[in-house]
Amino acid sequence: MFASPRRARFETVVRAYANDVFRYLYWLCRDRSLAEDLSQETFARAWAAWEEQRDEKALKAWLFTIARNEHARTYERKRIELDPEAELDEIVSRTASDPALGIDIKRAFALLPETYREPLLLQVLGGLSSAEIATSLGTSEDAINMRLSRARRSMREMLEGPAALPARRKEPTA
Amino acid sequence: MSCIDFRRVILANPRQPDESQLAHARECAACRDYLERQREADAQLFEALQVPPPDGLADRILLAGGLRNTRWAWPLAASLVLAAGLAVVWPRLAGGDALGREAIAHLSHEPQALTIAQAVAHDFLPTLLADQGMKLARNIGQVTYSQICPLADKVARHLVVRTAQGPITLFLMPDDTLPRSRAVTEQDGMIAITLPAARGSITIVASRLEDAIALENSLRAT
Repeated sequence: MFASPRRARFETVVRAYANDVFRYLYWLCRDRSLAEDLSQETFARAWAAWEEQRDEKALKAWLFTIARNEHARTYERKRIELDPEAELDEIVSRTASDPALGIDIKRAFALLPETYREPLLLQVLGGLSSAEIATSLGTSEDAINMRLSRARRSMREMLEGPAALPARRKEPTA
Repeated sequence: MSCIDFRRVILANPRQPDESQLAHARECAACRDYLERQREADAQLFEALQVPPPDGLADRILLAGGLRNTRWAWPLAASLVLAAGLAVVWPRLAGGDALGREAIAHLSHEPQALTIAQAVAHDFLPTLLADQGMKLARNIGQVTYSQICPLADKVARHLVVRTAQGPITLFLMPDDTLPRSRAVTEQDGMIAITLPAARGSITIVASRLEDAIALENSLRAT
């Protein structure tokens, strides 16, 4: 057993990225138990393909792509119905400085169409570039930038516009 | 660049405006305000997405994969001894501080770190420093970002402190076993100062040398 440096590096990566991968998967499936199982699967596959991964800068994007594929495979096996309101009130962010605003943002985010939600998740949570998101989702960078713009516009309309979520609606003043 | 073009680009990615977009923001107050509001909205979304992970997730992943294996503890220790030996020689051969360069390069991987404002307890940084046998001689500012990151094949605590001079980044590495000596690295317009701590190392990254030195001067051994 003299493969220790390889394993030590992998262990460092697991400790550094396990939480981010879990959060990404949670927001894809909104099921903590399933997100944990998929996190395990993601890192098991990453370990199996570890020799192929040589670019340190692209490591996170690579892990998120594996996680996304694992999630998609689960959906192929069984169709999981998502309730946009499910669990959101119960989730307390680690650093929730304004819990009410946090819940409104989560609801607005959950209500985004999947084609908008996913690139926004990869950019904001994962810190991936538009090019990395495009590669992960198998589309062009221009298409990703358009989806990101629309996602942010939709979020703003839901939080501040005339059809805003109740707690954030700005009532006209007399 | 027109205001419409600016806002179209910023709406797709407010995190890393390029030089032409920053130039436009400097000249146009309305677009500067637009950029700030979009960054704030992103920071709020980032915070809202921080669902708490299960306790011990990383350990369970490693256990499930059979990766926590004591059989490789001795080879790992041997490799660390070899790495420590190489570390004595390597800086002279390489002509610089690799950790400082890596710390500066890391900033481009997490550009949101400088704009996000997480609610971090006031005693968070003193507690982490105490773990490395260090303390602060004065209050340097509020920690606004905290993340565990891989750096130089180790785990680092990546912090951003909002100081009076602007945001300054710290990488705390209590488990850095390599013998370090103070090193100043300049790369990509940023300055990194790497310091040995009583336990591990600390790397300070700032855009100006005097700001990094000011923070360095506020650190003391306990």
